[in-house]
Amino acid sequence: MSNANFRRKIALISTILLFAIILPIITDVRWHLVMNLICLNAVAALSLYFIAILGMVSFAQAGFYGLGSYTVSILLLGTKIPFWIAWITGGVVAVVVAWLIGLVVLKIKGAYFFLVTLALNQFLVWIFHSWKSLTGGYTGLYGVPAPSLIDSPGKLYYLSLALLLGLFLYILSIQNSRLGPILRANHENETMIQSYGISPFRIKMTNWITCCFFTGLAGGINAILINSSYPTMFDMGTSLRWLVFLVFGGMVSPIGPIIGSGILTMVSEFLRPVKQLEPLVYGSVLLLIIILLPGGLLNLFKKLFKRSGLP
Amino acid sequence: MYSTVIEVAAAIFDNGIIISSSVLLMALGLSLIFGVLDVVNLAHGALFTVGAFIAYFISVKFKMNFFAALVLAVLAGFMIGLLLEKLIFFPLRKDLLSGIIAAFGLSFIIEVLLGQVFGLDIKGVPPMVKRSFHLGPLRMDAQRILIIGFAALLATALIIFIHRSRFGRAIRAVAQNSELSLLMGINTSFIRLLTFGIGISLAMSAGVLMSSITYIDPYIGGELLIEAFAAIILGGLGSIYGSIVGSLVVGFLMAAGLFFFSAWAYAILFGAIVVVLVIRPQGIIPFESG
Repeated sequence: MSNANFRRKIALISTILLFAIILPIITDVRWHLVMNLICLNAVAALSLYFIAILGMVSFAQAGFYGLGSYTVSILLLGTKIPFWIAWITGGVVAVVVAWLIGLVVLKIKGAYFFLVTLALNQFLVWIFHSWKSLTGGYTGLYGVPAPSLIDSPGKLYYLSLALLLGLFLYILSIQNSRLGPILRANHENETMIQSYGISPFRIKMTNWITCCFFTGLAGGINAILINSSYPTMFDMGTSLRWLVFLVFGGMVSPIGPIIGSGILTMVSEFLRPVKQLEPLVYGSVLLLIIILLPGGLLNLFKKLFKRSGLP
Repeated sequence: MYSTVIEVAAAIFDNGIIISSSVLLMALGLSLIFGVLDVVNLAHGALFTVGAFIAYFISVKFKMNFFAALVLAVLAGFMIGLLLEKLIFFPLRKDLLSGIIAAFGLSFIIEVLLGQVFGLDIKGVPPMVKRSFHLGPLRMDAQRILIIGFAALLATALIIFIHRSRFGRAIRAVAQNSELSLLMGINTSFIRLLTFGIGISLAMSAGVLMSSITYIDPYIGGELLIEAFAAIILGGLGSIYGSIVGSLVVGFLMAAGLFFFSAWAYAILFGAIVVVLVIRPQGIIPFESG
């Protein structure tokens, strides 16, 4: 990457960031809620992206989001533990589960990762349903108290934004480091990577655990945002939504999932009156994009720019 | 005491063999499609549900025979399979990831459409035959025996087709090495079409068969799909004999689990998947030998 190109990118990112920071001041509460959701969805979609570049799709991200959300809800409702510790604990719970599953499934080649994460998500949702004494069963847990520092969506937004920025910068730094080309190669040729003395398993495991940690943290913020956790929020429909955000935005760079989440979260706010049709819309978008527009919106933009001669 | 043990065993056997049959019909199609096309068909469950709704429509709305529904489901399944392969999975054949994502999207489209057309309320299909048989402590409805018989019949027919016919040999060849088969003069895209058609018609006929002993709503197939995945992971991905063994294991595990631990049966199932993946990741009967 040339120096001028890099500087232009930094300038672009900081302008967007500045805009994102002043946004809550010029909008009202309804928008604050949507902006929070955009950030949290973007964290989930980004984490999906970070595993997808290794050729794996996790269908269990909704489950990890749920683990974070339930941990925060249970700890804040049942004990006097401060929010920050509960929040980190939620991330750690997600990491532990991810690590155990990773030990089992990351060493095996082929389609097992998809199947096991799919089963894992069903299993986690089923635990949220069935462990009534801890999770409140079907109705879930309500009235999670928000700490005073982040007791309105407008304030909470900065935490969500910081989380998103953290994950985004982490992924950028990894991709621009010595590891970047290796990550890309891992998807294509594992044997070659091994011959350089690098363990593909360790790379996969690190990415997988990091992703689940951030997803768990996002789930923890979600518990504060809507003051509750209930099982249907973490089912396969949610995993579908994030997958659509990722594919829609484009899997070619970490900007893609963020753009996808931004646009589609607002679309889904408009779809709210016809909620039962949401999976139909998302399913169709997914199918159309994957067949007609592989690479997502980002690729479309790039093609348009090239045709118009702009940089 | 002795008689209670026998009764419990009979109850578990009765349930286990039924669950095994339904899981088997799903797992066979899944395994076949995965082996030949390298597609993890996440829409298989939704297509099972389509089969169940065909049975509901034919037998409740049109008051026609159950067997008419079965024939219709097999034919319709074959056509749908051809269409899906032509329109979706063939263009995406280069990439496992895209195929999975497309199938995932497809399953949600089908579920919502079924819900919109037929409504979300729970439906049922009356059984074909109403008699029941007693065999010692074992008491089975004739309807259930009919279903088990059909499942066994379909599985046997598939195995004979795969191992004894010319098309079957071509299917096995493509599953082992698609490029080499092409060089040997096998029309691989035709074999892919054929396999997908067979796989989907298996899923939809399973839906018709199971419709008479379960409730029907747009989501039943999705729940069964997880059990079918468990079966093919246990048995060995892509292996036909493996999916038979896997289905029996899953069916009896679920039946025993539901009897002794009720809701915790799913935990046992998930535990079984993890244990098998740790001890024998290639499955009970690996792909190469079956």
